[in-house]
Amino acid sequence: MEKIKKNFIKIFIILYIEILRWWRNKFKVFTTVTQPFIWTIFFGIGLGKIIDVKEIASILNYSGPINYLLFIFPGMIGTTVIFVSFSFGHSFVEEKEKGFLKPIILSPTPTWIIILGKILASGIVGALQGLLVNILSFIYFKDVAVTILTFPVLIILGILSGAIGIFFAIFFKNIGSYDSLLFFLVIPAILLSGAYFPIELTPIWMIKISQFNPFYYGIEMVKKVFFASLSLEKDLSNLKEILATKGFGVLETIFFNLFFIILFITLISVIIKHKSLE
Amino acid sequence: MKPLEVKNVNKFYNDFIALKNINFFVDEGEIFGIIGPNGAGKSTLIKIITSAIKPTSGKVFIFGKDNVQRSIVSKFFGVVFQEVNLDSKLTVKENLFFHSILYDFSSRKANELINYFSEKFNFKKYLDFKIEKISGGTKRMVELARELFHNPKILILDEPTVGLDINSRQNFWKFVLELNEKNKITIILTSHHIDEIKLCSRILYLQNGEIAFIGKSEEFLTSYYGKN
Ligand SMILES: Nc1ncnc2c1ncn2[C@@H]1O[C@H](COP(=O)(O)OP(=O)(O)OP(=O)(O)O)[C@@H](O)[C@H]1O
Ligand SMILES: [Mg+2]
Repeated sequence: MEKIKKNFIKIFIILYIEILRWWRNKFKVFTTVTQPFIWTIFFGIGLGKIIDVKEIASILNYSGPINYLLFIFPGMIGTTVIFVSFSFGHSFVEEKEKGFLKPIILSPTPTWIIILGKILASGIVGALQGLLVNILSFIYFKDVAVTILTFPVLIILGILSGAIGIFFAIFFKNIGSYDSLLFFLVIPAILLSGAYFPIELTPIWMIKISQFNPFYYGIEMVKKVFFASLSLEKDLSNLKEILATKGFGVLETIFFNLFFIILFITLISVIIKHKSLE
Repeated sequence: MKPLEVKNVNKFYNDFIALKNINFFVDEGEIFGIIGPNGAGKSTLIKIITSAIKPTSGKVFIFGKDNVQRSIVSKFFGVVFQEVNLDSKLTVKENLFFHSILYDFSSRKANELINYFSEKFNFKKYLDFKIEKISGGTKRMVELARELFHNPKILILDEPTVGLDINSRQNFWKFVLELNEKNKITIILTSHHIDEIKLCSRILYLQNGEIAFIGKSEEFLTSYYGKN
């Protein structure tokens, strides 16, 4: 009992320290908020002309007024969360490289507590960063429900991305090679996640690939909740219909995200039993 | 029971032999020096002793207990590693507080320890400074303090005074020697400084991962040092 309590306190202090670190780095907090807007402008102008938004609306079962910007908005928030949370893997490799982890590992703290604390922190920090983008969106949508209701799923998406980031971080000793993952793993996975164009409009083989892409379920979850809460404001009776959209509903996407989170955490815990974090 | 016994330790990195057939022990209350040229394997040996990395073969015992048990390592060892490993974005106090919680102290006890050691080691006025804003000498004192919180029996110092000026070095050693004399803490250190080697009771001299000399430091200084 005493031990469980101590471990809880330790997870809490790791969380606290990570959030403090994030907040201390205000410059990065700011640049990360502007980044998705830059993406949006490029994608918005480029793809907005090609993609038929009416079709998208029907896929999402969303009956309100829609344009391309509205469609990619949740994807953009999701992308922000993925980038920020995944970057916890980067910090983890950096900590290994600089030897910051050594005193932590020497302390009477089980390794899985350290990892779990960091994964939870990645989720919360990623979601907070996503929330900042979302609060800016308030200026455009003037809709509180969207901002509030998407926050919990942003945490789930953040935890998922952080778990994946830290999973890879365990194998890397050097930051440069870890960061190259961003280009041939994370960005392709984001493009195949449906954040910027609906997967349903792509060839069958691409759809097949995205079924194994955890970020597809992550982005799908954020989109579903985003549009559900947007419709909610307008018509409460819509809720049932929305929960049972074509493809997956909100609950199914959440379930798939939890599945991937558990999968990656299990993989990590098996690996750290056999591999020292050095 | 010896504080430290290293038995038949070998460490290979692929084909490269970092440590070969290392055997030695350290007595209670000793100041034991591990020395040797750059790349001799000193830090590798320290990492194996502290179970930060696993040896390819061989065993390390701390008061007779295998160091694969992490709880033994955290209980008996305080370790100041070669690189400073405080978090530069956090303040001195935050760094120390974080560490105390990981060592199972209550927040009240943590604050007591921070107060006591910051006063003793003269860095109280820097408690609210971020690590990136304090000098190398103060960083080392903070690290030394941090490693004493849990009252370890063995203090391991890997080139602790590298990059420090003469004043900071003397200051650092004043406290370490006091810990050795008053608190009977066993000290294991690596160093390149001749004046620090003189402080050691015994010396282990590593060369290309092998023990080239082990014995009393006077003997080392008169008969070995300078001749090889
Ligand atoms: N992870 C590793 N992979 C491969 N080789 C390594 C690794 N770590 C250390 N080595 C090699 O092992 C040898 C011993 O390194 P170590 O850091 O123990 O030396 P040292 O005696 O502490 O040197 P210094 O006085 O410079 O601190 C070096 O040649 C180093 O290149
Ligand atoms: Mg070294």
